[in-house]
Amino acid sequence: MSMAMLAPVAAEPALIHSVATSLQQLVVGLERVLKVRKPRAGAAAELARVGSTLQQLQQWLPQGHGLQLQLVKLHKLLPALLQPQAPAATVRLLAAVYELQRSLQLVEPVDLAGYKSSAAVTALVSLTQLWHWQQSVANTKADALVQPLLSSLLQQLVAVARKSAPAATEIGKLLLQMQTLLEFGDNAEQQSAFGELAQALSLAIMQPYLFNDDERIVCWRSLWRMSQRQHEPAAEQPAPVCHDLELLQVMQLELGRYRWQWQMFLQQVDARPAAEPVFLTYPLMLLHYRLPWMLAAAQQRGFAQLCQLWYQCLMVHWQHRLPLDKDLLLLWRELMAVLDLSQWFALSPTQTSRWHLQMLLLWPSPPTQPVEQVAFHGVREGGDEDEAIPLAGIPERMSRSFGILTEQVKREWFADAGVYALHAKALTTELHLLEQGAAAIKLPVIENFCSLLLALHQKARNVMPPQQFPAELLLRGHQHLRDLLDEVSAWQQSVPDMQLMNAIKQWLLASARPLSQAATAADPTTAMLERLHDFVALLASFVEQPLHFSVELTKALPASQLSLCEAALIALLRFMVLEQINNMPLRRQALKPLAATLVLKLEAVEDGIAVEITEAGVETAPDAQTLKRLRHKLPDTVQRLYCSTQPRRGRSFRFII
Amino acid sequence: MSEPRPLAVIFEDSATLALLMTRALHELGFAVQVCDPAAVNLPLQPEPALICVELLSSNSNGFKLLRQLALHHGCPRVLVSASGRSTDQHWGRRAGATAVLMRPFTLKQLQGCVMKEQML
Repeated sequence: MSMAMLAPVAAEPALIHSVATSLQQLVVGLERVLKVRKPRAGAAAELARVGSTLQQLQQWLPQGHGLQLQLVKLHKLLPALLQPQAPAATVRLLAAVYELQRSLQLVEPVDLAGYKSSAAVTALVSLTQLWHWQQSVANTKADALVQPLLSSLLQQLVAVARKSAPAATEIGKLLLQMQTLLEFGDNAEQQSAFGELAQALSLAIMQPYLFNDDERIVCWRSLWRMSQRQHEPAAEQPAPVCHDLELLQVMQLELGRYRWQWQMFLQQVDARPAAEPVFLTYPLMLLHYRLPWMLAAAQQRGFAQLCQLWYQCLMVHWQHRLPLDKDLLLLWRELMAVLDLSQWFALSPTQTSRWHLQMLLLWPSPPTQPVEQVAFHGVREGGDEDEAIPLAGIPERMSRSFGILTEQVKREWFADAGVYALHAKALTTELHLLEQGAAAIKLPVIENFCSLLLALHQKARNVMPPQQFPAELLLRGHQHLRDLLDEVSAWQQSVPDMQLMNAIKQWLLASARPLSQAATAADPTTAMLERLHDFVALLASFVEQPLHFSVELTKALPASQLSLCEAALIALLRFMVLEQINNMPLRRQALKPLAATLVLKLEAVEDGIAVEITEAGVETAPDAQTLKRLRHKLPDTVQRLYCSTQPRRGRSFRFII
Repeated sequence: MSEPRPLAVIFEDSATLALLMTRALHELGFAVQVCDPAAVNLPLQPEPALICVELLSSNSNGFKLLRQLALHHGCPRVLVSASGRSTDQHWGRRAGATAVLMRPFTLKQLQGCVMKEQML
């Protein structure tokens, strides 16, 4: 006799015992299922059965009959039973548990917080809550409940689509909720139409450039109709057939090569320890760059769209050097299993839609950036103006820049120091911009090479006897920088030429004078500046920190004050460099380059020499105590040591000696 | 006897995408030669009337290749990209492309791009 046929008379002891035993058996059975099935794939059918059994059981349960213990056990099993891949079954199970709980009149609600282990589960849990907020499943006509929820989800999707950078997981969550609702709606046409629509919709939101306006309008209109319960006629169609045999032959050969690459990758992944992170490789990135367009040519539109989004998902990993998630790898394996023409006929829109939603839910979040805008120092023409650039706009800004670095640099520019001097300012201005941009978007190879090249420029511009002018190094350095930039722009891994870098470093070391060996310039001001340059270079090599140091001098300085001025500057420079090293983590957090940029301005004034050192990108002044200690380290004749900061410009120390 | 077709050279190491591009250029009246981007002998012989370079390939870089090609050939040079990034437009032109074509493109767009470049 079926339980559903019995009237709900709750007090009969034999029946209560029977129900309790059933529930206990159910829990034991579930425990067994979980022990046997690892991973939990395929448990969806069991879940559905459990859900309906629980629903049947709940009407027979008396109040306070000690069945709570079984329910507690069931709760403990729930996190393992929730199946993001089988949303409808999972929601049914959760709904049944709610009903059971209500029948038992438990004060404590089901603790759902513990189940929120993934976006999919969170979506399911909130959906179930929503469901129960409306009314009990048994007494509500499904479509009446589904329609308002569908409309509400559509509104949320529109709101997401309006964002400039919509989050994939957010879209995935909403679409998954829609899919779940449609599965409850008993509307077969809506269900079949949804598969393709979900794909088109997420593509339209995430990659609008792939669609023209008409296609986007059709896409949204279809969804709107669906949410208004006007049937869409698009029943599930078999994959279209491509009759272009030449194309298919060529493609099958190429896919064979890709499958081999994929196998090689998998072997490497499987051979490494489980805890070791897995990163995307260039051949596989290239494969997915091409795959959507190959599939589209073979009339596999749905699969092509899926692969297009998959490519974007992989690109987020590539760009931010993120390891591939374990679940993402599992999904990838599934996808790559159909990388064969013979498999395509079996691909249904429902299948691709399922992969599609899973992928959206596994979409990685790019690392959060601490700043929205990055202050750039000395990037405009002339090299002394500052600019704040939104972080997201830096690649675009950089791709528009560097006309000199990438197109105009010629061998003749480095023929001798005289010709070089005509172009040096423009070159270093672009190099400074590049160094800062590379630091902001985390391209350490480019940043380090720029710092090195700037150091070479600085030395070349300053105290060089003509025969030591590093023409060849400068030329090779610029050519190599251009190669690196091309590689980075094409998303390839850029590898610096270590031989060249070492040659530049050795040249810089060889051309640095030891401090004990005084500069030889006849003019005392020039000699002092040479010594300061040497000191900064030595300090930079000692602390292994790139430093850009430049001097602006308006007129000749009084010779009588020079030695005191030099002593004060050496003390101040030492302080600034050491502080710079201490602040390195903060600089990195603010996406600023490792290299410090110091600009020294010297001016002869009525009562001595006015000195100003500006430190680009540093916006915090030292506290009073630190400033006091610093004052003690300077000669007594130093008057009025001040420190001021200007947003974006940096901080400046000023004094008169 | 009909006039010989102008030569278009495609640098692409995906056989499928090269076939699709070849067909498109055939339709536009070109004779087509497909080259491996990783094994280029410059200058190209015979002199092409159009060069198409795919941005990404297994052992080469479209930007670098365009720089070399621009030194030897004054004909229209089209960079083809499927990355979806607007930065390819700017950087492609900096590298020596006379036009940048973003996938997906139609035959009409390819034709428009080629004709525009030929007229300039």
